[in-house]
Amino acid sequence: MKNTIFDIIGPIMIGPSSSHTAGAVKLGNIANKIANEKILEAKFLLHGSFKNTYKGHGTDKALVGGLIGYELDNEKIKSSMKRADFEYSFKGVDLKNTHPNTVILNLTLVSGAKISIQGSSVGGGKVKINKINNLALSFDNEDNLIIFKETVPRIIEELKELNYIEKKFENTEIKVFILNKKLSKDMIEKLNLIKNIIYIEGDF
Amino acid sequence: MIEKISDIAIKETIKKINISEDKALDLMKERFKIMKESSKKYLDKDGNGKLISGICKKFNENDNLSGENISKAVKYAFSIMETNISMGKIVAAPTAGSSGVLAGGLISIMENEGINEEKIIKVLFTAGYIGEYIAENATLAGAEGGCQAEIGSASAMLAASLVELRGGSIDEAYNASAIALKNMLGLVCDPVAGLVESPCIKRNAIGISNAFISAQIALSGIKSIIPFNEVVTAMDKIGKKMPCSLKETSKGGLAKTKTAKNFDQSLILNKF
Repeated sequence: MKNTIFDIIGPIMIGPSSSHTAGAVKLGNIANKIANEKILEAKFLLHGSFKNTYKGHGTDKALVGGLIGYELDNEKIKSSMKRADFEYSFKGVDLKNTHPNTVILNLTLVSGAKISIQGSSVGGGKVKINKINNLALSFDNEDNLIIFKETVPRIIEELKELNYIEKKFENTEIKVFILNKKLSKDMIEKLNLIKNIIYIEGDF
Repeated sequence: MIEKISDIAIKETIKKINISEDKALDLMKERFKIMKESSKKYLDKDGNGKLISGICKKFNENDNLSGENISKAVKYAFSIMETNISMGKIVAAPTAGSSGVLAGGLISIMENEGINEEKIIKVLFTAGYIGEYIAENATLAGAEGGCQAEIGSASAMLAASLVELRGGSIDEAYNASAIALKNMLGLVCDPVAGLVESPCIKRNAIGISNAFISAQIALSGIKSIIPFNEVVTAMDKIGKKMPCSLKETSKGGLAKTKTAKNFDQSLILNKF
């Protein structure tokens, strides 16, 4: 589903495919933000159409480029595999009941932490994240969200009080909140003072 | 001043996103800049396609068989599509696989008829408005609606823009879009070897030709028997009835011809 006229005449992107290239870049971008640290290694597990056509669509270059932090229209995506400063590998998988354009990114970070992110490219450059470290959830590239790597009760109360929270997903390792609107500058400043919290702002 | 679709589109956009009209025009100008660049990139050199390379270079836009506007538009569309398949920068309009239609058509007529770029920027909003309607009431994705949703929609978008450029009414613009989309109903998405090359690149050519003739028909005061909104609904329903094998899975149609299957093998798409 597209949101504005600039999503119809747009996005400006690296081709060839909105779903297999642009969507893959976005998945890489989101994984980069969630990792929030230098990445040492990325193992990409490709499912479905991603698996079958990844070379022809440059999905591999798009995923690596997105993970480096390149945006949709960055011409460096084409040479991303030579530019990456992390190890990477690609494998095929068969996931059940999953969108045909799905990838699992298994990342090893510089702190030693490992993070696993499963996401799907649902068409028109839009993406959805299905899992983070086995926490099943659902958010897309337009959502604003906060990820806590540890419990920080004080800040959660404040978020609730100010009516920021829309959805909550949790497991023992992490909590993810999907916010119903972007955080104010004050809240962002407060968050920046606290460790182990990642705030990701959605598109447009 | 009689209101055009572009005026309505701009008004609604700036309200929806809460930006100024200047900002909205700037965003569209940014897009048009990339459209122009990609339309010229492969005029003289070969792209990096796996099946198709140098199609833009080879196409003779000076043979006036199809007329000046269409010929030049197709030449530019081919350059845009070669940019696309070479992992270059393009503007999805509404998708990457159909990105040659609108840009090719508008740049061609702009150059051939000396139209002011400001007018082209405005009718990009017209095109976007038509596309938004299709997105909200049907789909713009080949995986959901086949190629009728991508090239068909792009063609309808270009048709409306052309009518507005010629000073046609809102009603004439919608008739042009209806006629254009009607002409593409049932078109499947059957990409050879799972790439965005065959038949995608040459389908941009039919998207363009269809748009020009549909606009010309509508500007004559000829009406589409079925109004635009109902054509969109029909497209949606047809798309839903299409088997998955004909919706961007490369499991049917051209993708399963003998020649296509041979390409599949040689490209070894799923080798790890």
